[in-house]
Amino acid sequence: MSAKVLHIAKKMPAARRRQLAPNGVIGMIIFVFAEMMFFAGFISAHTIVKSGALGGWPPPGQPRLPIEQTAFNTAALLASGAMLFFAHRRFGKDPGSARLPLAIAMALGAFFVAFQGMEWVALLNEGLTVTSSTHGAFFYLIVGAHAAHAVAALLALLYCFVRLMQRNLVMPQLMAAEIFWYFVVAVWPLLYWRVYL
Amino acid sequence: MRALASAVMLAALTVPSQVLACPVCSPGRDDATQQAFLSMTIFMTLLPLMMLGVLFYWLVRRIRALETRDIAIQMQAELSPTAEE
Repeated sequence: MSAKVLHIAKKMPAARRRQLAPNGVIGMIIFVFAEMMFFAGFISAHTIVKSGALGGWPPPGQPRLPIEQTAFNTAALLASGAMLFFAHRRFGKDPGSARLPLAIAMALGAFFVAFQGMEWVALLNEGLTVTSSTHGAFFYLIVGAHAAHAVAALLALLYCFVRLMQRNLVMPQLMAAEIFWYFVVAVWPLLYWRVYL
Repeated sequence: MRALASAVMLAALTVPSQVLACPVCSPGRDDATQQAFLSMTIFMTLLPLMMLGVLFYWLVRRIRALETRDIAIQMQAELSPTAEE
């Protein structure tokens, strides 16, 4: 039976057996799906604990999160996603012209991570720690997990940028890194809404 | 035994607020917590289905795009002057 199937497959034209998408892209999509469930679990746990908190949320005596500053930082991250989309369009037409938008996207992403780091230092000084309350524990867990993903995605973009400078970058590599970064960008407004607001 | 099963089923249908599956989530909790459990259960149930739906939709679109491109290439090859010769 299997020999017969193999025989038919060999007779099929090459176009019928062509892969639908590059392996790297498919792999990244599966990885992002897993990560979406990872963050969904955090959001779910946070929502349930928040709803049952006695004395309101954040708990009494705990510092308030910097909503306005983080809104500005969110805008920087969204702008980074837009610049990466622009870089993709430019790369399709002329790879060399994608350098500037890709560099700007990376710079905006690095700004986001650095700004988050400064925010963490300020909150730690105000007394919000992992052990100070469930509020602090959830904040550092969720925002920290996102920051770790942002750093990993930035490294992927940096790899693409280096290959672009060496004229070795191919579209599947850029697309895989893009999917990762778009995930980091897209999940953040949801986290901001649930954790900060 | 069948009568007992029927009685349990009848109770489940008639007094659903007292027949809650999860002993941890619901009894003794306020409405906000119950609502959070319910909404997050729906969210966690639908999210993977949505993701698979999006992936399936994307794959179907990709297959159609490749087929359209193949037909265009084939037609171009048949219409080109070298093909006529």
